[in-house]
Amino acid sequence: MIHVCLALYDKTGLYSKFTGTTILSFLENTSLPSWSITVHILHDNTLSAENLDKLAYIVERYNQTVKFYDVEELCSERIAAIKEMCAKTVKMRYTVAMFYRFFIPNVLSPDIEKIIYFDSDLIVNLDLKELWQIELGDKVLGVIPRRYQKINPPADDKYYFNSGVLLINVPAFRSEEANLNECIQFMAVNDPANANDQEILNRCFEQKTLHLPVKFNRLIKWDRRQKITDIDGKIYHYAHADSILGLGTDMNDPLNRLWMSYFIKTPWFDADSIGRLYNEFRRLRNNFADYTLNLSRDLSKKSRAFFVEPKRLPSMKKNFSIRDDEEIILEENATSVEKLLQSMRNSKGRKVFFILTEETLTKKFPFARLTDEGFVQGKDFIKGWELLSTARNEPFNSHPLIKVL
Amino acid sequence: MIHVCFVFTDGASAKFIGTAMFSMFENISKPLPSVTVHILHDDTLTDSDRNNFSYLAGCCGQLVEFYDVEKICAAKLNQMIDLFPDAIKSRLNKAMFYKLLIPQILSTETEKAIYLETNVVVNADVSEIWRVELDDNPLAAVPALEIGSDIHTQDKAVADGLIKPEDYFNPGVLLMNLKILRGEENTIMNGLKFAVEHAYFAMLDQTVLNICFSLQTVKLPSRFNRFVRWMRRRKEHVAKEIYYYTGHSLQLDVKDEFNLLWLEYFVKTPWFSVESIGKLYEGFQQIHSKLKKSMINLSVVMNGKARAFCTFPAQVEELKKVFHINDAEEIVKLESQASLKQLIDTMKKSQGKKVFFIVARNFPFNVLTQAGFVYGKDFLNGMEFLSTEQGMSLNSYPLLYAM
Repeated sequence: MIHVCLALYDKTGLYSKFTGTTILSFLENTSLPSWSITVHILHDNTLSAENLDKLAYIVERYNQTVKFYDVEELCSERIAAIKEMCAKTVKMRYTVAMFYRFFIPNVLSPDIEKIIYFDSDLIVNLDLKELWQIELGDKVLGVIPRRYQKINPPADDKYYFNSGVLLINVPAFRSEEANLNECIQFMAVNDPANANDQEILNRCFEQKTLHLPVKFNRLIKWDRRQKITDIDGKIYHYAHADSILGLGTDMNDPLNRLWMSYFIKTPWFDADSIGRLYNEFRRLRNNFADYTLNLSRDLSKKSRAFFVEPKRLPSMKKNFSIRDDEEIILEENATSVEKLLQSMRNSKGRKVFFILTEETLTKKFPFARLTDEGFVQGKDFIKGWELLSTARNEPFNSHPLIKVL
Repeated sequence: MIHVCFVFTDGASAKFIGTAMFSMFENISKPLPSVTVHILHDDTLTDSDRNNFSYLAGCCGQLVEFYDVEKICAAKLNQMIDLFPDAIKSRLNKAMFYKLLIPQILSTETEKAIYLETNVVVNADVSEIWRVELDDNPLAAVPALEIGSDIHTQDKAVADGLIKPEDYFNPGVLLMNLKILRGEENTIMNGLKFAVEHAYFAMLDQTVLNICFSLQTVKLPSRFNRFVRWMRRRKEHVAKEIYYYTGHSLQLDVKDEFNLLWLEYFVKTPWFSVESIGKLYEGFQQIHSKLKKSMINLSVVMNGKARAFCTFPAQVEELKKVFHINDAEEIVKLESQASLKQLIDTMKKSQGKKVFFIVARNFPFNVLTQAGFVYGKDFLNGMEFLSTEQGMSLNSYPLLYAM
């Protein structure tokens, strides 16, 4: 019997589909008949009946077993305690569900001696047996160290691991409860902004881990950065959501395609998904239309001026049809921003400055310096690059479209 | 065995025919196999689409046959096409001729067949159409007046008094008496000749079939051919009927139950895949890129000029809000024909100093260009700046078509 555990917090009702897609991917790829799988889902009262049914439906479709654990009921005091201690991180982009993996020994049957823990943003494109059959010995966790992702990792990054895929030695994990609680406390008091599951687990178990091959937790940003285009038998981790490094709807990207090919087989995909996709696009388009209307007002009776890097001047001249009589300030050195400010002071009310550098001198453009002087975005200056494709040639971040599918 | 015909002359129509077929299979009540689908096609039918049609039929326990019309019926097809002047030939949609040749293409053992347009959803049991008694009549169809009050008005032959509105039918859904129609080949050819003589080119098959057979067509109940645009006008709901998505009435807005109905069937066909999402996204990208370009163009056009506006009096207040118009900015109201001259005079006075945003549906922009003004310099179509919230409609049919 292979045991797999996932955790879920889903206030919007839109997140369960990610969990479901992860589950479908490993069920699809793990061959019978010798192995059965039990899927353990740690959730709270944000899991709707409808989404619970869909998760159950997927597992039952593959003739496997699913068990649901409402941790809010089963471990209410511990949940309350950790929520309070780590209030800061719970409010950040993480959710409280990141901590549910800590309660595996408390909530699951004591018979279970080994379990795989998965985040919900994974595609398991291999047979789980490959991971399950690894012997942990006396190590507490099997993990994939961060350095395995990189071609030239720094020499001092020896142990740090991503907590999205864990092979857990449950009795050993159980025996470390006091140690784990100490680490939670320590982080909550001394480094509250980083009191998340990954930092806590790394602090607690740094050298008590068995290092596993990177194929069991390949962060997709590294495949993208290293321009790897083949899809292999790996567990792909779609971290960095809501950025162009994360999951998107461009199906020319093989990693996007991989995720989508599993998602459309889940019960969350139906005709309404297409409707939601289109609706979200329409909303983005309407926002754009509003921006244009505002722009027409803000450009009235004003000329344009541009702040641009010398090497990009020719292409910007073309993109913006810049005329000879329009002012151009080049971003050449540390004094360029002051030159820009001076020009803006001299021509206040008569010109709109198009800032065409996303980063100036390897730092992000210091818009605060403009706003501190009383210049207003949209009136005195515009983030001109937003009117063009981004550096990586993506017209827009399509993650909002994925979220609503 | 029920026989159903589709005509395939455009690669993109594969998913529409597939969706129609699937909806039909889902709603049939008879034991399987109960339907043979006959696909009359040209050389745009790919192996992939052929396999998908076969797969779909197979999954549903039904049958499908393919007919390469250009090969099987070349002589008769050319005979029909040659009736037309050369200038018209290139504009003709050969699907219309394929439809008229169904009696010659299907085996003589098949005495009856249902014809369906590609963009229909069969949300009813086709056996109910099949059961209709034709006797010696060549066709059964839904009368146009029962579908909507304007359908017959689009046919010049009705305006010329050749067909009475109450006899006019829409051939989007037909029950064909192939036995009788096989004996009416000459009638149809004569109908075509007549259409050529009178330049009835716009909806050829519809006109010809009505000219030839409107008085002998058995009337089908209206639920077998519901135009979706009429259903929406009458605010009616989806029921066990056949829906015909004419023009661009099929859209991606799933709040509309007719759009949702089509999509629900479509996603279950083999034409829906990860590719479809990719194509939708590519469509979004293109629209998005165009928007960005138009914003840049706006910045080029403004060039230190002030804005001015032109719209109908009833829209002024709304426009002021939407465009954030301040009191100093001029608004020319389109109150009468004279207003156009007033606009031109105003534009002449402030040429080079103002850009006029014209916000009026169906505005005759050519009047301005003829007066010497330049689009993108002196004036812009203000409608293009509006969002869908503000009344600018976003036609998503091209996005859907590309899926």
